Amino acid sequence: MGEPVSAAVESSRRGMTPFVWFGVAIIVGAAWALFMGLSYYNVPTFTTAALPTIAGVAVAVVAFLVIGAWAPAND
Amino acid sequence: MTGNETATVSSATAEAEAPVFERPPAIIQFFDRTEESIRSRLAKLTFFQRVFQLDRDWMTRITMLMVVASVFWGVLGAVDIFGWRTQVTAFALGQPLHLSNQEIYSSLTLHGIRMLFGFAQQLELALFGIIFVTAFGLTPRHKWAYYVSVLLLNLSMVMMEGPFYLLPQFNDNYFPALGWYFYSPLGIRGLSEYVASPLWYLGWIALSAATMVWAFWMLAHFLEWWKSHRGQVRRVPAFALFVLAAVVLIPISYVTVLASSAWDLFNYFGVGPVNPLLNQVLFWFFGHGIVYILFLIPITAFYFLVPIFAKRPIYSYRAAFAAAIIFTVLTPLLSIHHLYLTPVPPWSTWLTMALTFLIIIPSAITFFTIWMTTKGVRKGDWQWNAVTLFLLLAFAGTMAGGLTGPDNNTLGFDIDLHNTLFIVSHFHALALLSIAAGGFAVVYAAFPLLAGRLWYSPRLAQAHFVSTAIGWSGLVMFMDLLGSDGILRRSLIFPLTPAVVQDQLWLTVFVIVSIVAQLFFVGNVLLTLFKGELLTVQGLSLDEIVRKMAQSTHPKPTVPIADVPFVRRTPRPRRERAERTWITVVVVLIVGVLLATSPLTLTDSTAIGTPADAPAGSEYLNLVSNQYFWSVGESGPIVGSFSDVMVVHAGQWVAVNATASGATGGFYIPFRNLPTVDIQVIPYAMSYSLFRAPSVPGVYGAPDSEYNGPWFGQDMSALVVIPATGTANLSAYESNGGEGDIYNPPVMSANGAFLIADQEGLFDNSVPGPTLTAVPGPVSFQYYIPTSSIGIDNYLVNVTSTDPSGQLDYVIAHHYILPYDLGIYAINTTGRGLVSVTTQPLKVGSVLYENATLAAGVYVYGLVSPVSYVYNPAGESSWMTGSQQGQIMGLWGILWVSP
Repeated sequence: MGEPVSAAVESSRRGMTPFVWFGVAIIVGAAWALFMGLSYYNVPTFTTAALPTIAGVAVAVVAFLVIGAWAPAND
Repeated sequence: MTGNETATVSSATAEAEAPVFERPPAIIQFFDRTEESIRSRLAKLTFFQRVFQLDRDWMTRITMLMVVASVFWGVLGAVDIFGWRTQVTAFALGQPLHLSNQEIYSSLTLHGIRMLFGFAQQLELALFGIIFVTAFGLTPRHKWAYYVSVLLLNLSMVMMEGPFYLLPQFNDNYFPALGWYFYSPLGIRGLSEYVASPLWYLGWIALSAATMVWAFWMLAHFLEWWKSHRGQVRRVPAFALFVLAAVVLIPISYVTVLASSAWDLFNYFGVGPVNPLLNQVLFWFFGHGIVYILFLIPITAFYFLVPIFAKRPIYSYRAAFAAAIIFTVLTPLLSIHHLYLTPVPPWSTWLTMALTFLIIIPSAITFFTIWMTTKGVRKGDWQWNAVTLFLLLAFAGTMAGGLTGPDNNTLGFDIDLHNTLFIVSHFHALALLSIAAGGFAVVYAAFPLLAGRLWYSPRLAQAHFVSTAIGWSGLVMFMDLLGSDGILRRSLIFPLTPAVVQDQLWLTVFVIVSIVAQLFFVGNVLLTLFKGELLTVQGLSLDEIVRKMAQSTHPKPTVPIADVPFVRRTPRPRRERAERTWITVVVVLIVGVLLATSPLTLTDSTAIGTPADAPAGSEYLNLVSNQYFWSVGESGPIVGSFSDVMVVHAGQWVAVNATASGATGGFYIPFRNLPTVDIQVIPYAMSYSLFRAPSVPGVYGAPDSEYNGPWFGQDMSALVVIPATGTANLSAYESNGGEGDIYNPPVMSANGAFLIADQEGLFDNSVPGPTLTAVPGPVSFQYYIPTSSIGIDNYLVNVTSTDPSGQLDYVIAHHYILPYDLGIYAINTTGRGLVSVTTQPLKVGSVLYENATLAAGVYVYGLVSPVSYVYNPAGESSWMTGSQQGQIMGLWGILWVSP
């Protein structure tokens, strides 16, 4: 808006980038989903019925974060 | 400019009427004159002028009308769920319920209908329409087609909701109580004892017509734009691809609910045969599609808004294009993943599971592309205003809700989850934390354009975000926790264990927080309309306008709104290599998971649809799901016929053949220490299950897991596991927690027990009632059915009246004696069923003493046969208004006598 904002701008530059914040959002959301799946660990069919899917989701989340970190920036 | 290169901005305040070279038809002229007359009169009142933007162009006016209507339905939907939660909370605390069962379950139906279609979908259509027109610089035409769409949509809500009191004997006088959707043949006259008004089905047809008109309106405008810009534009903006996906998917999805509703309506009037399973498959082509159509709100929000705030194009346009195409192609194909527990062919289950896993791909592309779009944005160049905060919430929420989707999609796992609050949690994580959060991001970014004013209060916007995030997250979390225990969805009646009661209370708290949070938003909207600073857009690009509007939700904005030149430094091949790597990983994982889960999926699906090859010595249970009890016929080592009681030997294999007479049912035993038993049971089809009974004798709760009407909560049976030889007490059963089945009735000593009935007609708020234990010899306990428990929800008195004391008057007139017997009945396993030991008339308001000398064995106590009940409070039930009846068992339990 063209107003002088130097102090505020400095303040806003502290902290994490939006890329990191969205990464945190992914981790928090995915952790909750995985926790909910794993809460069925004591069901007898868990290993055959649920574990492959939960493991697949867990590996996907890790891969998402690793590839995202490795990928070139949107410059 | 960002990714929206082709976008242009039309003046937000300009009148966008199409030039008229020919006189429109007389009917249109009439409508125009009438509208103008109403508009000019209402515009003199400041309130209407501001709220409905009556001095603006017709597209803005109609969009505001849709926004206001959607808020109206949203408020009603919130009231609905508040009403539901008050009754659930009252049940949890043992307090009186103030609504009738009909009203309670209608609240749940209407909550879903109003929120999903009246609120969310109407808002989606409104926002997509105005954004589309604005971003493409279109001159909107065919005003009355748009009006017809809006009119039909809102009329459909009125038709579905009831009451429609113009002519009470003719119109719908009952709220529909059909779950939150309908599940054929529930509600159909002649096929279900709960009958909905035909207005319900007509409402679906009107809704289908409304959305199709909107879709064709959008398509006509897009094609017009495409023709006039052919050769001038390189590509359609990425966000618009997903708006177009909605335009394509709406007619494809709605045509199926149009067909199933028309089919139901024909059946309602006795025309043509019904195939409930096929009808359900047809319905779910829509039921699945609508969720994905709504999911396009956050997806579009991401593609539209993230590049604007990042001030750079999306990471990969081609990836977004691929995502839109895959999403559009796969969405209409996934109906059967809602019907995994029905007897459908195993190949269709497997194919749907595979396709459902594949639809992860467009979401995977989208979330990677959007996340990567922010990579390289400096922290000082990004503003965390209400728009971006809600985008962040939608990002996390989609992960939380979306990543539980594969769990549901895995049939072996779905058996544990399918009928529980886990599914409701999964849905609400997506509906609230993803769809609604994305919707709020768009609203915060677009509403000032409609209002012509900047947001009034950044503090209210912040308060709205924080309280909403807390309320929605808590709500989803406690639904999840209840679901993990095996608690049924859509049921008012649930086990009153301390943990369940606590979680239900917390769930209510977070529902209230969620509702209160929206008051901050509504307050800000009203203040903006009347006190907001005027929005000026001259000389600004669309992206700058959006940033300017969003900035008004930040108390101390620091980031300039001006576009900055963007020079691409990272070449496309490098970016697309990252995209390809990610998608390759996703595809490999999907194939791996599919290979790992396919054998069990095929085995489980085959077992539901094919008679079991049961081992020798198995017990055969022939079950018929009635409304609201199970008829049980047994053959094998145990022979007999029972209602709601299934008797098997410990460790015995049990082969179930089940069908439904009337509405759809579900046979569900939520063991947690043993494999869960869960099949859906449908009229005119057989469902099968082969499972091994617990090796520990005891009484295992087995609720009907498919909603079948307002006395659904009482529809509970018991699997009574007795020792193959000799006797056994319940100490082992109690010490192992009854194999983790949350629905096991509580156990208490018979001698001295004092069982009190509640207003739902249950002993001690439990169905079956508490399991009583005794040693052989004299057994004595007491029943008490208080006069205060007699009311409109209590099926024991078959008098329904608008007079609040109608039931009690009947009881007094009959000297407090009802035409049923309470008693003790021995379970005979050689074909005689229940053998009476002692009986006495059911007397209200007096303590009834049950005394008998019993040998070792298992008995059923209480009122052991279903009670026919007709609900007809104002004498208005008819085939046109809807009606409600069924056979209900609630005042019964097992008496276990062993040394």
